[in-house]
Amino acid sequence: MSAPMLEAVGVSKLFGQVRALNEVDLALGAGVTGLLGPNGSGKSTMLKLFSGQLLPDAGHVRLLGRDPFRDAPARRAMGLCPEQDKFYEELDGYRFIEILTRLHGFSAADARERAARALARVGMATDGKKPLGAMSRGMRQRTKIAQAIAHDPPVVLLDEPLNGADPVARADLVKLVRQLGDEGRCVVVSSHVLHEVEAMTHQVVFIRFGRLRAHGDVFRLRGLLTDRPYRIRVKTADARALATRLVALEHVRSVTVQADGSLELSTTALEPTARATAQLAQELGLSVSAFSSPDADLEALYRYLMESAG
Amino acid sequence: MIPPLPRSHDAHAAWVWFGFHLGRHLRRRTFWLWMAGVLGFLVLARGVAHVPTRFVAQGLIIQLGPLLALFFCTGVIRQEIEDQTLTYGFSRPVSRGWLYMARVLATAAPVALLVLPGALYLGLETGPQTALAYGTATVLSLAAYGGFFALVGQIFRWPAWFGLAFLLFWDVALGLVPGFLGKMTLSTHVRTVADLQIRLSDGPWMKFFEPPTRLASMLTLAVFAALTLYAGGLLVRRREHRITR
Repeated sequence: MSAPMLEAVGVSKLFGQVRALNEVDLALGAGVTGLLGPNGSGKSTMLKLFSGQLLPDAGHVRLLGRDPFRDAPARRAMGLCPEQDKFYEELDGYRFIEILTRLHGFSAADARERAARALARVGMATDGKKPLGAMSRGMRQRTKIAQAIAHDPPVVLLDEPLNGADPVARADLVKLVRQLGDEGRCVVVSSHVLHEVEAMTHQVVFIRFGRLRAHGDVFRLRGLLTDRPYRIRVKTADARALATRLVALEHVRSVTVQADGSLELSTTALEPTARATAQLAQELGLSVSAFSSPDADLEALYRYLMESAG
Repeated sequence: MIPPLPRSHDAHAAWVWFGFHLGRHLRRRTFWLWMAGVLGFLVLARGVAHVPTRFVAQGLIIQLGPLLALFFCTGVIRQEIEDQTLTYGFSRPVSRGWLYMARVLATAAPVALLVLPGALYLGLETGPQTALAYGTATVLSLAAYGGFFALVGQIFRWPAWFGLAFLLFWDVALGLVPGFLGKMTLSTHVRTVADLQIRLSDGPWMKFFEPPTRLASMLTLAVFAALTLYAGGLLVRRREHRITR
């Protein structure tokens, strides 16, 4: 296994009496990872530690094997889109990114070129000429992402990157984040908007009360919640006939015929049950007009994890 | 693997940061209002009231310069924390100490632009030697006071009040005490460099006053400026700066 690009080992962080993070162990590699949790759970603190803005009270944080707080050159490998909507307001988007990119050691001409490329990548080639103070929230958000990627970092940290973006911009940004992950970068996205995180990645980290609740693939994590059977809804012409056969399956706990004639079954194994349902329907000569599992997605996983966290 | 940066990277980045923040300061209305104020003071003092050059120079170099340094430099990092823009510089691969020093100098430079032309003009009224003395004193004074107040801005919760108390009760008051204690103040050294010492005839107790040599005062101010800048840089490098919404 290759070395993690971002690593937290036994990391705790206190703000006065408040423990923002509590003995967090986390290792992230290439690809997009969604950092999820309710407000105040420690997501932003985690990103600030990874970006070298904060120093852990216990444990250590590594960015490509180096300490991002004390080792300034290590921060060359990282691009940060901070949460706050704050800028040097009098600058235009191009100048803002050019100045910041020059701090990475690029010449003025190189930095200008990189600024133009980054702004074009976030769809701000034209609007980037406006002063930041005159930009809409969505434009400012995109400019903030552009400054994080202009120097082509292998690690990109995005704190609530979709805040304030309109639906079209959101779709574009989701696509961009996926592209960044596909390019082999380690992209960490902190967000409250679960369906957008789900559109970006299936790799998630759940944090609550400063503790790491879960880390991994959404579907694998969902499968580990054995006390929470999956619900499956099936719509077919003869629900009763299918229900009689389904109830005999090993993983199926219950089958109910709903008022609208559809079936709702509860199972501990989603995939085998789905396969068996299709097979049984075929054997009975029934066509399935709808098949869904309303609690197999990220939102359900989030809800269950947050409920079980107490 | 992160490719190494050239050895001169920190200095180069600090230069970029200095230029950027200097430009920001010079575009601010506050700077131009101060400029008008300083010009007005000179015109009133010399052109209208015909106050002797020596007293006007004292007012400009010894009193107004440090006050402006206090006003401008105490908020160097604090302002960026309040504006929540600190993250942009501090998440870059540059030593934060260098960025701090660039920021302090970019803040002290506009103060020099406010005081230095007037000081040179007043000095030239007497002669080029005096102009050189006034100019040197202004630059060293602003570096020393600027570095000190920037450091104070990082340590104290109410840096402006502390700085004002320092100027009034330490620098001015102690500067009037003859002998060793007087040499503990920045104002004594600035006066020595500018040749604006309080004369023996200014008070009978002053017969005990032995001013330091000009070279000693220049060195003292330069070393003090370097030390306070370095200490501030060290503090910035080691300390967390929390930005909260």
